[in-house]
Amino acid sequence: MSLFYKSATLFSCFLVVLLGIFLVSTGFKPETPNTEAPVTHVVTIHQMKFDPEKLVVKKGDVVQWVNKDIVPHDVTEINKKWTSKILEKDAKYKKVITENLNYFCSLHVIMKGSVTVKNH
Amino acid sequence: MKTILKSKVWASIVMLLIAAIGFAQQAPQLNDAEIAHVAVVANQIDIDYAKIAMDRSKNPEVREFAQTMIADHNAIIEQAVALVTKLGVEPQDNAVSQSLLKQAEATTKMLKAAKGAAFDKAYVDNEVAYHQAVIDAVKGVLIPQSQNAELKALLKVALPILETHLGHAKMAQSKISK
Ligand SMILES: [Cu+2]
Repeated sequence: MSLFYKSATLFSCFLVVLLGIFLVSTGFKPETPNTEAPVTHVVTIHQMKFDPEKLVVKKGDVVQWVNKDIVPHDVTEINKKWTSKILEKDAKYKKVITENLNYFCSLHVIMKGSVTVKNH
Repeated sequence: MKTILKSKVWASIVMLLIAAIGFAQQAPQLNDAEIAHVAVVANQIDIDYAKIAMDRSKNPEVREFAQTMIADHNAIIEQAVALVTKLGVEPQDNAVSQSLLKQAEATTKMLKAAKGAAFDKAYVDNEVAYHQAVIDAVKGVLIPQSQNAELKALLKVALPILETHLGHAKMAQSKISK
């Protein structure tokens, strides 16, 4: 490999890095939004309610439930297919959402919530 | 036997409601130390009913409900005790606490006399009536009369918990009476 070729390669690498730094520093964002990046949504359990009670997410997004009440709660699939187990005050539970979800608190059966998957 | 139990349950409900309304109208003046005492006693009474249910009921829904009552009312008591400890207040016995305890004694006797499905019904009916009476007392007497802001705030935190229990008890009641 010639010295010229080597230094040209190095130089172009340097240019690319420089361009990258410039683009990042000017707040440039790629034209096409990254639709694949999963988002984390927070559902707060507060005053005996899931807030928000109804949530719309993209497939693959994460929902995190946080118990802000003084009493324990849980997050249980409506047909009891799975459960978070008991969440004491300030405890959190996370789940990747791949399909529509109806859930309730098995300790306070009148507390209900849902997550709907919407693709766009 | 069933009808005697039923009428006893209703008699206690009516007495409790009269007592609750009476408190609201005559507005017995309670200081914060007395309000804290009422809060602890009222929660402890429901824990004690739940413990009877855990001893006697084989109905999984009734047992799950009773477990929730034990966990939640314990959590409220813990908060109340933490608050009075922080404020340096000693909960103070009073007429409202006394009347709640006297009523609870009669209800306990009635519950312990019942068995099987009759017990489940008596327990759940009483839970509906008791939570309604306590909610009325918290709204009508305890919150308006509490002077300390943190005590008032704690009572306001307890209210939606009691209301959720009432909704849960009513749901269990409608299933049991089917
Ligand atoms: Cu309760």
